[in-house]
Amino acid sequence: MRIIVLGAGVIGVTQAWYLARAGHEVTVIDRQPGPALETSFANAGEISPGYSAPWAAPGIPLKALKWAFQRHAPLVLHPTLNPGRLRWLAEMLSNCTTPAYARNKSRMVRLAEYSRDCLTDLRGVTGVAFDERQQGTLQLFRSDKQVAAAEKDIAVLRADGVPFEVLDRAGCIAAEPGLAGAADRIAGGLRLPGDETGDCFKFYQRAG
Amino acid sequence: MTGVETTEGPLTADAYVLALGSVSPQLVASLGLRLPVEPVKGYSITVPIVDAARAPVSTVMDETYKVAITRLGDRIRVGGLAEIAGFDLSLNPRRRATLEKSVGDLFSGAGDLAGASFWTGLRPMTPDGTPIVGATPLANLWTNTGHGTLGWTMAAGSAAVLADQISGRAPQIDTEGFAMARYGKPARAHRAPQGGLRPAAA
Repeated sequence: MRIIVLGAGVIGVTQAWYLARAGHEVTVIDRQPGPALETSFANAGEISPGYSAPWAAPGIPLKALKWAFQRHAPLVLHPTLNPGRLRWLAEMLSNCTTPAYARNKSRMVRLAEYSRDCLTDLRGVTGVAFDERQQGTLQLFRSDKQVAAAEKDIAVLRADGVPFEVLDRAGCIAAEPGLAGAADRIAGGLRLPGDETGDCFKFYQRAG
Repeated sequence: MTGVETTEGPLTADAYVLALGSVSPQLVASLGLRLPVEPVKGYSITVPIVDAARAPVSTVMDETYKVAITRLGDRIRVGGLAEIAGFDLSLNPRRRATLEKSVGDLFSGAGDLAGASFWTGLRPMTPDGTPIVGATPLANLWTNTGHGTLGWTMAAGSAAVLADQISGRAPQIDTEGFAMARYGKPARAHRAPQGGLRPAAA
């Protein structure tokens, strides 16, 4: 088949590669002159199936309210009257229930775990280097409250069979020696040894 | 769907995949399709390493600020934050300060913060977190979008699943809940009749 892929970001380029491998004739269209020049350009660099979870979660509406008054807040919601955005926010709110969270998370984990296997395959076939490392990720807790709150994530990881390590302060520093200078800020950590890191833009520049 | 209008003229194919991130909904709205994907703005700084012994070896997620600090070769990428502000791409210095605080608290002296590059991007986010991967009510249009913060994590798997579906093969995993059908019926038009397809206003 002749197939047009609209979009040359991380998703579109990967899509084109898999379609071409399946024997299709593929054209990629984008407004940018090259691949991965918009949102794919300088993302956080994580390949984290273990952290694949919806933002819409129980407790988030309350947290979002608190963040509204913090200087260094993870989430900033600009006031809006845009009907599409308001509808989207309402839908997000309706997904903040425990059953919706569990259903959504299981879909995301299903796709993300498979995706890591596919990326391993892709890396092997293409041989592209992208500052990649397979050394896991460490979620760092600065307070005992955060350590306690992680219990519910740990239960999900256990249920999904995702490998994890619960670390104390010394364990965190052993995993990430650069943290030694910040020992007094560390309450504990949750390490996911199966997660990976790498530069998305580099991968697509070199693969393209 | 019969074709795509581009600056270099119309292009046609047997099938089309929509992978335009947060711009995806605008392109198919005229086809009567509603994709609930909103741009959620994130920021990153990329910091040259000056003392590798103080730098992270992999990713550290700072739970307090929801910021990810990642080693990428001789650089540290510090990324995160979320602003729901439409398609605005301005660089807010307050967000840079939050990223600098997170990495400065945990990996003090590892990188040259003054020499860092500051960047922003719009994550395509769905209200339920799962991307929209699969068929649409139009027989030859497929979607692969809405990956939120996890585009890089889910790219290969999403592409493999959809390539199998487009090729008429069974995907290797259960695809329940991946396609846009999970949001309910579209406002108008079910499967477009053969031979009676509308041109795409793309």
